[in-house]
Amino acid sequence: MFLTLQVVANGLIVGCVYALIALGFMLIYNVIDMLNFSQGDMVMVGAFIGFTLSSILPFPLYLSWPIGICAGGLLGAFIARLIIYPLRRAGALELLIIAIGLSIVLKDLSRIIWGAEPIAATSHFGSSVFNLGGLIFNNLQIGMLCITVACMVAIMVFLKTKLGVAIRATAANPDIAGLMGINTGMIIIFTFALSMALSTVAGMLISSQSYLVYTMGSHIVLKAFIGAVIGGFGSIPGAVIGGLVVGLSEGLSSYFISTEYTGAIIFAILILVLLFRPTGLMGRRGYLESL
Amino acid sequence: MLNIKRKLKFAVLGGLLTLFAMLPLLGISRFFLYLFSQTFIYIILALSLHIVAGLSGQFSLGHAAFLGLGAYTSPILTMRFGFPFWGGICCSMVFCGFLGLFMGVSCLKVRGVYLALVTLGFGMILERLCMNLTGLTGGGLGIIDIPHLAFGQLKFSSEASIFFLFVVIVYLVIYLSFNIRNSRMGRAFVTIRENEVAAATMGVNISKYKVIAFLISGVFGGLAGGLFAHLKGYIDPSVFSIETSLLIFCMVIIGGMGSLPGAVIGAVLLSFLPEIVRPLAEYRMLIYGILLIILIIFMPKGIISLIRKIPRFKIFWFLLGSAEKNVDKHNTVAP
Repeated sequence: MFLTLQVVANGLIVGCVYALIALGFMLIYNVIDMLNFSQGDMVMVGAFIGFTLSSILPFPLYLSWPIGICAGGLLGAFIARLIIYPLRRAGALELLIIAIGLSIVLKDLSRIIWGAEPIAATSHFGSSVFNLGGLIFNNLQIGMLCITVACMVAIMVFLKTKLGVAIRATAANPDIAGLMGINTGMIIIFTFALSMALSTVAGMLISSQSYLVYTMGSHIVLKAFIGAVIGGFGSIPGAVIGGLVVGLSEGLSSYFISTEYTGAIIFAILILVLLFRPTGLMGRRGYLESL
Repeated sequence: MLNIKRKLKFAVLGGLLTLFAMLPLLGISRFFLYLFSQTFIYIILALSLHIVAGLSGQFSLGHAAFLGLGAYTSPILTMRFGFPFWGGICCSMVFCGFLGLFMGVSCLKVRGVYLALVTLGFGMILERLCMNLTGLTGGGLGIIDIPHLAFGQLKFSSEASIFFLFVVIVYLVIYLSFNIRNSRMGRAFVTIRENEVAAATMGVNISKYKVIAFLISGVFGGLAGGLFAHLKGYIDPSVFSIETSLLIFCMVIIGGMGSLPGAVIGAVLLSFLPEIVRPLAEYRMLIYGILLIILIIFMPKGIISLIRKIPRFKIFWFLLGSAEKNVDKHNTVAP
């Protein structure tokens, strides 16, 4: 019983990271209808940026994180200006191809820059262990929980500010948002940068837990995708719940059934959820309106 | 009139393919023949996705599931259970047809992003099953030493003979897809794609035709899968990967959504692009990705949109006229 609780807790903490990625995924989807298949590779690039800053360059923790996040955001803005901005009026299908191409490019660039060998994890948090009423957590898990929750709260608060309202307006209807004096092109670039910054945070968290390799993105993007879809695209609580569901079912199924079938079980859950609620658990409200 | 035109079209296409089939006689290298055969398989897959996505408007990302299931069914049946080859390929088609049926039924309620993810899920679930049912599928190592196709005494073991066989099959598949588009069923598909409510008011049974689109797609996918396994000679669970589905999807979009020639052009282009950029060695995939992005930025509606811009009569002159025009010129110059 206690072990089960521990598994649930671990699953939820991993789920928090997925929720963060799903959040970035959902932001992009709402603002420009782009099914961003390169989200996982953005996480991977973020992880490598974090690795470079903390291991190769001698930056302390409190410097490497902010610098890494800013670098990720700038990279996102650059990518968006270069290839997303020209196609902002195109349909979802063209943007999907852009995402696929971007995924290939990011993957190969990382392979050329950082090499194809897997790199061992370096924890940013030390390795002490806490005992909370019998449940055991290590430093990293506590760090993951705090940072992801902080990010989600920050995004929620941010979407209430003036810039945040502009993003929501663009998501609801870009044409009318443009008529109201919102520079929708800039909003698209900004949203992409924000999403990339979130991915960088997630990447740095993942990189302190498991090894780094340039192909790791394809597994991550599927989990974020599933999380966003289970939650129903379009609401932040939805993305968080979806991410938590994915993390939890991953933890439980690998403990009770088999780690071999984890991927299949998550997809089976997804298909079942969509059979009964075709627009996800929190769907139908949409367009970032529900906060 | 229309009928004659259509027949003429297929005669021309058949003629072109026959000319194309003469390539081995010109002493083209075996590697290129193999590459052409692989391209033919991708053409079949692109047409299979064309029917589901291009005609009936359901954007499936699960075509790797058809390819993979077809590619596993035929070798397992022929190698382990002693089926004849034609039986193996037919079973591939039947099994994938059932998978398509199942996929279509589970996708009835969902659309858009949700549909894409459900279909993607089928591929991932099948991949996990293949990895773990070691006794049947060989697990992660896959199946090796798959024999070449042979029908009775007719053995397709050399690259040239496989190439000839595939030319015939691809011609049949193109012919079938074209006729599906111009049948009652094809028109129902297109109506559903354009407007479901309007289609329903016109008396089109939406659920039925949506499922039928997946079924046909599955049968074509199974055919491609069976041929794929016997062409490659080995098969492992990586055929189910999301990259395969995305590649087939890219072919259909880059060629031009909803257009049959577009799907074929996209398949040919994306099968040859990696070979064209191969001399770049290490930077191969990087350039491939950049080319993909550039293609879609400059041709958002696909290559077929570019071809459609050329006036019809110019194509006509290009195909038939250039030689005659020269003759005319000589006649006027001559005294």
